[in-house]
Amino acid sequence: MRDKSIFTLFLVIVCFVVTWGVFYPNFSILITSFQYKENWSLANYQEIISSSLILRSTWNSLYLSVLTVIGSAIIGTSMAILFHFLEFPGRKVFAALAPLPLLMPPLIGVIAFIFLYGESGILSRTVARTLALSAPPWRLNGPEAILGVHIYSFYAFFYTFVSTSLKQLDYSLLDAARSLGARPSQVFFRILLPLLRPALIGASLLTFMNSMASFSAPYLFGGGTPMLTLQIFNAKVNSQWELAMAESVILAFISIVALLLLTRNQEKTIGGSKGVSLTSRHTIENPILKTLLLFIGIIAVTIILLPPLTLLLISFAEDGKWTMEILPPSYTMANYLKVFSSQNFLEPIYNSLIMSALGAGVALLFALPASYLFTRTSFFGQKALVILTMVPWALPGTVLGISFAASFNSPKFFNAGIVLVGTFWILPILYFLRTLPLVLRSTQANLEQMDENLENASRSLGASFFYTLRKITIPLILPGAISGTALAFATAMGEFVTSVIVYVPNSRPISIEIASQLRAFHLGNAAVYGVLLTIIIAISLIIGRRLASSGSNYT
Amino acid sequence: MNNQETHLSLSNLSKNYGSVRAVNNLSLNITRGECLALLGPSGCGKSTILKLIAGLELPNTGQMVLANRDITKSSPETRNLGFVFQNYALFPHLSVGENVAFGLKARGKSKSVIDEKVNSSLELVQLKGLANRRIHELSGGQQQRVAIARALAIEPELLLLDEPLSNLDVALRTQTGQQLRELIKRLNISTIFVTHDQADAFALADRIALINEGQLQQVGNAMEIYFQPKNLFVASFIGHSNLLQARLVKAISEELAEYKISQELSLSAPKVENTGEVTLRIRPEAIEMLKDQQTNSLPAKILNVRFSGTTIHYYLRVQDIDLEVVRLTPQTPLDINFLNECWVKIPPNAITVFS
Repeated sequence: MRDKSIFTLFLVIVCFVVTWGVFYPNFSILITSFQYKENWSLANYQEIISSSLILRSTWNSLYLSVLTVIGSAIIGTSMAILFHFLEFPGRKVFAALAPLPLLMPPLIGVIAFIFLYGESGILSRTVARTLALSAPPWRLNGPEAILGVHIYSFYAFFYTFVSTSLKQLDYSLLDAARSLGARPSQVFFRILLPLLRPALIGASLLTFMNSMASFSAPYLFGGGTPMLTLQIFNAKVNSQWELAMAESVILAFISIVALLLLTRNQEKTIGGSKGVSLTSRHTIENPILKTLLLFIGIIAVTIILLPPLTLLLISFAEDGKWTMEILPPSYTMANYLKVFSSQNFLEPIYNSLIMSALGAGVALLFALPASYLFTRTSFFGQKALVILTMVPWALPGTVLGISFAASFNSPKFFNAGIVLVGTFWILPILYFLRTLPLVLRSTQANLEQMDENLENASRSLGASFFYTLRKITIPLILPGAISGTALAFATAMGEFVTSVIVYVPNSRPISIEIASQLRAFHLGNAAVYGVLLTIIIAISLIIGRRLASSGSNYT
Repeated sequence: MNNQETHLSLSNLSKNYGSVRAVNNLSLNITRGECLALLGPSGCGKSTILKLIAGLELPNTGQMVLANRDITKSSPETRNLGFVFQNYALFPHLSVGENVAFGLKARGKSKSVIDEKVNSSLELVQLKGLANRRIHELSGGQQQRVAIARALAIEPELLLLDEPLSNLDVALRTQTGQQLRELIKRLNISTIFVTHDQADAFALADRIALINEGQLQQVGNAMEIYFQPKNLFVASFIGHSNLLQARLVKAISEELAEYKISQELSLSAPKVENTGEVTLRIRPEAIEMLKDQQTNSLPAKILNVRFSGTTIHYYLRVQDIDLEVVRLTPQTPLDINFLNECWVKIPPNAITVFS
């Protein structure tokens, strides 16, 4: 049949992209890691084992990630449960603001932390002045600082996962447990927590992966705490390629194990039961408790809002005027005017917009046929292919960057003679590969939810395969696909870790510019870029969410 | 009906899903204007047959001829069949009118033709004036009628309905069934529908094809299937049946023989060739219940009585065998209802013998 040859063509394209863009670079990292001075050797791994620095950085990455997961889980889960079951003044506002840190790319979060809690940060100075100390009582440095930024950035994974899960929960199960004589604590530990397990596992793995991959915090908070991602970056900067490869293999291995666990967890949780939803929240009447909850909520919201507000404040600060004061002494629009009036300053924004739109747009074009292939057909090796497409998203950005830098630096047989290093195209292609799973996931979810009989009905009414695709399938899945694309675009806009390894100065993205403005102590400029980036990301995520909810009206 | 032209002919159709034979060597003809029910328990393959006819699945072996055209391998859009899905499969992003117009647009018809056809199709199912509604604004019954209008708008060769009444509530079922039958007869359109419900099949169909485990068990009108079941499956699937194991003891006459059911109970029933183990089906409404003893009557104990309006179900023990008897509710309640014992007469023509 004609449909079949079309599927075969799709499949060939998907296989080519996955082999060329995912399998080849990663495989070549693995190969190179076993080479030393152009011979097969375990020397790199021996160096890793004998080097206490690398072992220590691996250990640091691991234990900090575990602590990040624990801290984020406690904060995110308790916030979700509190806001879901209890009614108290301000609950709606708190609930709406809680996922806010997800809007800020890690780099921006880290910079905001520096402005706020750093040596000359606003809060640090405030505390030091109030307590009449010569220096702030803490230093934004070392493992504690990294952990703090991590928990701030990642607790929202737990908050959103658990909130979504709570919304879909069948509350008659809780009532049933109560009617069977279970105490509230028993209902919580024996019924509610086990029901939330898939959400908790999913959020834990995601947090763990992000934390292992975290680069901005160790990069900018500097010395003291060697982390795996930073070691890879340093090895690359010092041109110790083989060592960088071997370290990448370790990090990649950990991430891919986490990815496999994550997909397994998702497979198990497909098809949540639609049960009786929560009819009323428990209203808190006790005035003391009510005030306490309000107080906790206000503190939480302050902690959430302070970093972005600080960023906004600094963006109006006059560069060079702010030395010893708690707050910048004078404010100006000059930073914004400078960025918007100069071609040179606008260029990074423009570059990022172009490259992210290219990456996300191609991801959409690719995801439509690929998701059709993954959900509507079955063939040998399908599952492996699906997992391979997800690898660039699961890999730490550092590893992804290193693998491309090493694989596309000169024409070779396996890269189809294409050199990407030093060209404009390397970043759009990396953004495409890295964000493709986001588009694929939402497109696939929409296809799976769509009733296959709609396509059957169209065919039996006389519509061809393509007419059906054009008039029925694509219109129905497009809102979901575009909302996935918006998320992909937002992710690409905020991308820093991969970009810093392979960017080309002529087409440097906004994140690179932020880091270099910061290093030149142009705090105002860095903050302006940070604010603009956050606004662009927020707008695209809001559009994406709108589209996703308009699409769900159909099902 | 035998002299009428064959509209669709299925011969030796088989469809496998892995090692499962969903349809097994099925041959069946539908005459023009006929309404045929595919009746069987869930998972018997009846829906697969419908999908094979529509081209949504391809058979492994066999042939399908529609109006003298071999459609065995043709793609679904070229078959010109109106398929009404069990869940209606209405396009949620299109309005009622756009749904009905869909097949005509796919055929590239002009706007004026489409508008006219959409209006007439909606009028046919009594939904005139709802063309601009969204699908989710309609009730379940209305949605079903849109699905039918959409299927009829393309003037299909055949109308295929998958469980047409199963998604409707009880109150709507009878009424919709009647309207559907009226519509099919008025348009004189050949129709095949799938159902697991004997009552739906009896109410709607001219002929019923009973399917079990992918195989055709019997084709015939409702009466034939009820009174002359070809095999045990048909007998047990249709109606409440008393099924009893028995052994032929001796011939009584040309037609009748004596069957021993248990130590204490023997009955005369139509003679069969087989002399070994047989199964007797005794239709529950054909057993006579008497207050007093008559010739050939047997004493029975009344174990249980269930009154269900137009009929009364009695659960009796005759000798050492349990039997179900159904009687029409009489004008005035009989005092037999209050008895513990009675007499029953089981005429030989109430019994079908399966060897």
